[in-house]
Amino acid sequence: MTPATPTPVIEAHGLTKVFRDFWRRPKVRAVNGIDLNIRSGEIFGLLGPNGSGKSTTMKMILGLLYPTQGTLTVLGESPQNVATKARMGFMPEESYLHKYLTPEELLRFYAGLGGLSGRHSRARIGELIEQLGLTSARRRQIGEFSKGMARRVGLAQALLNDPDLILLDEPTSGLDPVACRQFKDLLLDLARRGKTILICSHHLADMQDVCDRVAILLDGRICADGSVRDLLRQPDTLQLTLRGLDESNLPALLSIIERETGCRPDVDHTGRSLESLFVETVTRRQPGP
Amino acid sequence: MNFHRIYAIATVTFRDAIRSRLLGSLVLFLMLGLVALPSLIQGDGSLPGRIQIIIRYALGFALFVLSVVTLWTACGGMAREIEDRRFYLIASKPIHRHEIWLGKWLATVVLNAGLLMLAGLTLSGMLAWTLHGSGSGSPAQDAEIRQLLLARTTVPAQPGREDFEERVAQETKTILESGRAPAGISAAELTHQMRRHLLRLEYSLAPQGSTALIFPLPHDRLPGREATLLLHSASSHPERRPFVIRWQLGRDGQAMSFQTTNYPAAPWQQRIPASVLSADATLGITLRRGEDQDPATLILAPDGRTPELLVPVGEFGANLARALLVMLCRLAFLAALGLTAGSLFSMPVAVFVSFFAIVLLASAGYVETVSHSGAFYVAHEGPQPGLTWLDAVVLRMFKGLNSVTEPVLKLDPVPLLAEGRLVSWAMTGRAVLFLGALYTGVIAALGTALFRKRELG
Repeated sequence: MTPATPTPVIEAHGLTKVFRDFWRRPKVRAVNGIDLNIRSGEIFGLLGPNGSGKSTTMKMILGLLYPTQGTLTVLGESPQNVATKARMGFMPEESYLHKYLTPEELLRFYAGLGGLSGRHSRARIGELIEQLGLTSARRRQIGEFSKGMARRVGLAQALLNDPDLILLDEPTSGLDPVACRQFKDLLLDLARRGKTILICSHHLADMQDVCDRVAILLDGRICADGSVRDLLRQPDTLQLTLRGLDESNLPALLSIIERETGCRPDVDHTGRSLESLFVETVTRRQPGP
Repeated sequence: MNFHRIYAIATVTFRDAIRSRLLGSLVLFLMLGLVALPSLIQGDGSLPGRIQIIIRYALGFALFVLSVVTLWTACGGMAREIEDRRFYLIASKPIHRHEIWLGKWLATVVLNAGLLMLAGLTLSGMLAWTLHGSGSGSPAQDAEIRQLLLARTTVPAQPGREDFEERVAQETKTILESGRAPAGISAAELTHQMRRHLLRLEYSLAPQGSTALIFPLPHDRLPGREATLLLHSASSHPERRPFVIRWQLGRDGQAMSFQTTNYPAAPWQQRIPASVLSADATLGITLRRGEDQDPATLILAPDGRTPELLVPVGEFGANLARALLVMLCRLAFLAALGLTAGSLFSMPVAVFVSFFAIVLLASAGYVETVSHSGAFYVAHEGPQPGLTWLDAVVLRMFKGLNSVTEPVLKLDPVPLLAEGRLVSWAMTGRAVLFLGALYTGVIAALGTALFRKRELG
């Protein structure tokens, strides 16, 4: 028996968006007939240079822009469907937040829009404030926040209604490496809990860390798409990792490989990423809770 | 429609206004203007004059400032929030666009209601202070002061001839049939002119002549309060000489008689004692010329404005409350107008469009005159100039605009309140119905439809 195909959460066929000028003449074809099929529980990345149509696609998914051509369904409904939006969370590229509100007030406001109220809303707000490290700043106005702090508030509002579909536009921009790592861990945790996540980002390393599948957009068209693993795989190159090898045995090992395969392997110590070094260093030096 | 979501939008808009110090600055500016502006205006030195100035300028200032601020903030509330993309987040939540629009409108109206209440309280305080400082003390003075702050209904004099309207119709018909009517003048305008002419004849005091003014008294008049007779006058003689008038108040002159000397071309106010009013449901006043030598005729309805009796029917507080409600309806309409413009245009364009609409409304008086007369210019001498095709097109536009503006034309409560006239429930109802509900509703329907169609990208 073949396993059931996961339900498509976002489905687009021939999705096109043409921006027009004042006289309704076509000005820019921002998205040009793209097909998307994002399945439940996956983290999908939309990559591309500036002006490639990533944000326009995301805005159409959110129902902020209307497609010129093609079909688009989100959670099986039109993106304009208000009830569907109750199952979605969105964190924009900039934190377009009310700068005169405190995080608590802002989250209460969005909870009200999302239909959350009373004890459940208060509990959820408290939980998110704590989880995203906003406890000490919960009563400060957002206008006084650093970009990173504002991004945390932006993320908190996106997760407030425990959405099934989460859309994140440049989520890690402005975050320090520790926050970035925590953020990526959070995304992986959400995906494990069955949430579908769509990310637009320029931070390719971050996308590589978290995305199951990606699509690369250029001039409004998808140039490449597939699982990250498949796209990055180099079929003619293999990497052999040996842990605990005594380096005195290395010449003998290399000569065996060369003799048997005819290939001279490149040898180097496996390096750790700068991110992991930074996170470890900072975490070690920070005082405990 | 979900009221909780509308309330959430209204609350956050309101909170933004407070935290951004917009509300605080506005309150400060409003209070300063309310107190300072009337004190800068020199009156005639009398207490009634001072009170008129305080009411007219304080409320006029409040209405002007709040109108400008309402339009500006309403335009900004939509246009700027679309431009700075704050609506990205809100519109991505489970909320209908019209709920966002209504939430913004509600916040603006509630804000204005609060500020109007503050203006009303400040005005009441200023009036109390002025009256207190005028050195009242004796019962006569207190009674005098009590007379100042009243809501008086306007009762126009009824022509003594019962067939007056029939006569107007007959005379108009005769002119029309004889072909002596100016070219291009409408039958309605001709009737209007004829009524004015006959009223002038009706209320003329020829040498040694007399005229009777009859006023039906309202049933709800306040007991023990005197009324005021307002007369506008002109003399048939170019020289401005005083006229001696002998008054008889009450039926057959039983109640009271006295004599005054008045100059023409200045409005007269004659106080009518309460004792005369309580006697009957109708007040009759007979005016006789007192001097024998002057050959001039005194005209008491020079512009077709009949003599008016102002009869107290209510207290100032309730009148002020109704006036504030009418003003609030106007501001609610402006808020809808600003939000609608902001839903469609960018901030500067939205503000320009809104103010243009206000200018159109402000010129409604001229539009009304042109629409009723059917001509841009009425020639009083010589033949009436014909209409060009452009005149005809503009006239048609004016008539269309007039049909929109006419119901709200006379909805300005400030002069009424300043003159101590009644802001009636009928006027308040008209303001609520036309401005607060119908016009605001139409604009809101248009605004929400535009906002729903608008892409937020």
